[in-house]
Amino acid sequence: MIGMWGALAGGVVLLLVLLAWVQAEASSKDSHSDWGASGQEQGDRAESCSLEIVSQVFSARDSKFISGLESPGLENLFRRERTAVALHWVQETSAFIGKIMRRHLEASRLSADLEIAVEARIFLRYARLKLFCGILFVLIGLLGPQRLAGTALYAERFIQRIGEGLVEFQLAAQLRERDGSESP
Amino acid sequence: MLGQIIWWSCIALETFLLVRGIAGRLWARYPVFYAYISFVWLQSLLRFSIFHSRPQYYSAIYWITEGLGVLAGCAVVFEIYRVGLAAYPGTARVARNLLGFVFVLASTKALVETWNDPQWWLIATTMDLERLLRTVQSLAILALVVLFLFYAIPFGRNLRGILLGYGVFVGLSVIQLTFVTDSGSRFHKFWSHASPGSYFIVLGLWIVHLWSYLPSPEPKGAVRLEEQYQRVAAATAQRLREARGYLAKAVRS
Repeated sequence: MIGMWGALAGGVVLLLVLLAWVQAEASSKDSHSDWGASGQEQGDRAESCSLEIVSQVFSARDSKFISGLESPGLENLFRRERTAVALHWVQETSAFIGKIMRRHLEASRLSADLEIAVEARIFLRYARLKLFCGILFVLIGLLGPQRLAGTALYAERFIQRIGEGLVEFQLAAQLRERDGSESP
Repeated sequence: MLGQIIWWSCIALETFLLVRGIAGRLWARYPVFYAYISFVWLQSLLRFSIFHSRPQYYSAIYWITEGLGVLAGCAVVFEIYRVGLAAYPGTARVARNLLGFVFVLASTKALVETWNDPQWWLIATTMDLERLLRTVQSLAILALVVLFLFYAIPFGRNLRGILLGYGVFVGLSVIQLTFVTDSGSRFHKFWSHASPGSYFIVLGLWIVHLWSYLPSPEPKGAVRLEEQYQRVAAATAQRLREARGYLAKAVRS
C-alpha cells in the first residue's frame, strides 16, 4: 500500500502546508484588499513602463558608446547600473504577471461554469512566463542585459508559442461570450 | 498518573467544546463537526470506563471506535469543503475534481496492490489500515489547503480553527502510526505521552477558534459573475500576451 515513508512524507507535508497557510492568512489579514485597489495601482504602474524605455535598457548602443570613451571605471559603473535597472524591470514584469493571475483567480473562483482545462492551460502559461522571468533574471545577472543576443532566438520561439496559445484562448473566450449573449 | 491527567483533561476539554458549541449555537452552523466531537466525547468516556472495568476488552473497543472515528473524520473534511467553498462555486468545482482525483488514485493503488498481493488484507494489521485511511485523509486535506492558498479563499475564524485543528490531528496521527509499530520501542513510550498531549493542543485550538460564531467573509462583486469571469479570462490572456510582448522586445534588443 502507501509505503511507510510515503505516509510519513504525507503527514509532514500536511503539517508544513498548514503552517504556510496560517502564515499566509495572518499576512493577508492587513492587506485583504491586496487584489483590490492596491493591486490595481501596482499593476498599472508596471503596465505604464513603455516599450521605448525597455528597449533602451536592453540596448547595446549605450554600452558601445561608453566603451568608446575608454574609461574602465565609467564602463563598470554603467554596466552595474544598467544591470540593476534590467533586473528591476524583470522583477516588475514578474510581479505584474502575478497580479494579472491573481485578478484572474479572484474572478474564476466565483464562476459556476469554470472550466478546469481552461484554468489549467492559463496556469501553465502563467507558470511558463514566470519561469522565463526567472531565467531572464539569472541570465541578466550573469551576462548583463546587453549580452543576451544568444538566447534571443530560443526565447523568441518560446514566448511566441505561449502568445499563440493565449490568442487562441482569447478568441475562444470571446466566441463563447458572444454565443452566450446570443442564446435565449 | 500523567496519562490519567491528560485523559481526564481531554474529556473535560471535549465537554467544554460541546457546551460552547451548544451555547453559541455553533452546532447548527457546523453540524458534522459537532457530531464528530460528540462521537469522540462518547468514545473517550467509553474507552475510559472499559479500561477500568473490563481491561480485556479495551483493545477491541479501542480499534472499533478508532475505525469509526476515522470514517467520521472523512465527514468533517467534507464539511470543511462544503462550508468553506459555499460562496465560491468555481473553486468548489476544482476541489471536487481534485478530491475525486485523490480518492481515485488511492483506490486504484489499493486495488493494484491487492491484485498483486491478495494476502495483503489478511496480513495487514488494524494499525496499517488506519494509517492508510489517515494518509488518504491527509492527502485530501492537503489538496484542499493548497487550493485555499492558491485561490486565496478567505476563511472565518471558526472554519479556520476546524481545518487547522483537524489537519494537525491527522498529520500527527500519520506520523505516529508510521513510527509506532514496535510497542516496546523508546519512541513508543515517548509517543504514548506526546500523542495525547498533541490532542490536548488540538482541542485547545478548537476551543479558541470556536469560542463564538464568526461568519466567513463574503466574496465581493457577485453580480453577473459568468459574464465577468469570461471578460476577466479574456483580459488575463490579453495581458499575459502584452507581458510576452515586453519580454520578447527586451530579449530581442
